[in-house]
Amino acid sequence: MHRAVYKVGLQYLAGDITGGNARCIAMLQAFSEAIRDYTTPAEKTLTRDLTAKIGSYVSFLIECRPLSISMGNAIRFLKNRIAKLPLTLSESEAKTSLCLDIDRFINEKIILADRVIVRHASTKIRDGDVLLTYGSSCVVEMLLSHALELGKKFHVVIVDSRPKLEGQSLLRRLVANGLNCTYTHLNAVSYIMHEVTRVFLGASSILSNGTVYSRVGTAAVAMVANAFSVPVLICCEAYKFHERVQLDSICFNELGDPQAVAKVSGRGDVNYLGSLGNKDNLQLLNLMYDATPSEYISMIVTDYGMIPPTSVPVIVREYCRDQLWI
Amino acid sequence: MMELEIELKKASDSLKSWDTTSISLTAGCDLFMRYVTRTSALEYEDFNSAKSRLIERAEKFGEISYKARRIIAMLSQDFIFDGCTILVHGFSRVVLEVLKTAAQNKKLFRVLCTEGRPDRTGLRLSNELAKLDVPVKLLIDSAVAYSMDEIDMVFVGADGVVESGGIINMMGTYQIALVAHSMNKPVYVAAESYKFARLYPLDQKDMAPALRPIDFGVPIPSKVEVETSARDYTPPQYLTLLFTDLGVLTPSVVSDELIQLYL
Repeated sequence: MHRAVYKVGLQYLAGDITGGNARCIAMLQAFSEAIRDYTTPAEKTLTRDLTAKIGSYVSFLIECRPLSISMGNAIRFLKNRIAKLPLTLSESEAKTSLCLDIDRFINEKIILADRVIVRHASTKIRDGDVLLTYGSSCVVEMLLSHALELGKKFHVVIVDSRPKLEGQSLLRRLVANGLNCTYTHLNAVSYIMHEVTRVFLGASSILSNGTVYSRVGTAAVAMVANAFSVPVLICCEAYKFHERVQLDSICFNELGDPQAVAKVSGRGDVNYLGSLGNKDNLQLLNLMYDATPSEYISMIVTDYGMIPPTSVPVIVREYCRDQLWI
Repeated sequence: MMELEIELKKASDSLKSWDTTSISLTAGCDLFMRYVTRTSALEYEDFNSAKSRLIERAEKFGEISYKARRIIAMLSQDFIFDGCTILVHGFSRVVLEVLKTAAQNKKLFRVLCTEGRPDRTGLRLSNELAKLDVPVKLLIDSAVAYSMDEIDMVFVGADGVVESGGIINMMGTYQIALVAHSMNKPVYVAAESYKFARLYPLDQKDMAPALRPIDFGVPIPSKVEVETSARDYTPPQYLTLLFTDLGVLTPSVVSDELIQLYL
């Protein structure tokens, strides 16, 4: 087990790195370091042995925390690049080529893609808008900061929910930047929605039927916005698209720590469940993701432009052929 | 080669600046540029053959656009059955071509035209249809819901077809589409494919404004404001089918076509 991969795995376990992009970048950089330190054992080919090694790293990371869809796509890309290495390359050339590919992937598919998304989405923000966002998405944060730099006048409502309370860190950074913010919890979203003009949400992945797979609670926000005829815009890089189709939130999801639902961090005295928590007929369910149906989404902003949710399979078909992601 | 592309862009920009509110002009220019410069052979051949290739594609584009109306008219014939009642809004030459072809094919149908204030499109259209011996009835714009029971389908043209699959058309189209949708009547749009634009309005005010003065016939007090916008946006969920020269499409296919063309 390479030390960089071990470190990243522990960071996932502790919850230090969260968010699809951050986890993907951290994982790819750890793999890049591992590849640089790699030497092919005697009587083994580089491609097969390295693929097996990457496979073992991935299993370790899955033990720490199940993979996000963005990480899955990145791993497929890496395995594809390893398999496509010409046999004539020497070991050091192959390693440099792979590291360059990884850097290019991170740069093109994540960093530059985010800039393109921010550029497109900021055209949809007008002066006097009240924007709502849920939880903490790095792309939405970049978008709001960029719109502020462009001089637009708008107000932000951050909706948050237990047990992760991810919105608080976003709130701190936006207020430090000088944005006018309102902070509330998910139970107040139908109260505040009539004042909102646009909803910007991030996504962990977008599936082929236009369903948005994102942090639990996103579906509720999108549905309330739809009921109030407020447009919902999803900001998502194209590398997170997936060919899978999912009809509800239960068939494929990730379970978090069930005790986090019953307890409040930093308040050991709060123990409302008491002894009930140990009963057999009580199950504490802490889901990490949920699926928002495509009819509640007005537009998806990707690095390929602004598309309707029905066009996600078109992007997958045109640009993600053979999972090459080139 | 780069110089030629820059010259083309300059020409396209000056054309577009003549009427900044016209979506079909902007969309047509953009699509022409993409269609013409999309060939990969541009980098490899010598200049003269590349230029003739460009001219070839340009002429092909012109031909397609010219024949577009005939193709659309032919495709829509299957949807007009004997004894049907069609509601038409706005004066679109494509829709007129559709109805002309249907009349020439000896189909029996009647047309209800909205008056189309203040552009008086209904009067112009009913004139044209009367010449074809098609039974025409004029409605005032407010009588659409009243007559929707006897209508079998709604036919409109489009100023522009946007990326979501919705259309931008003369003011009143959205209203009619809403009424038709709530009473389960199909709304058909006849539009050439060069009108597909890379716009994506989120609501009615999210478009470049196109204002024109309205004459009410009597002087209006100065304190009274008038809504002078000439067009509105109809979202894709209220449209049934789009008849284009690319075929009979559902609204979600528009984005598919645009992605294939632009990227």
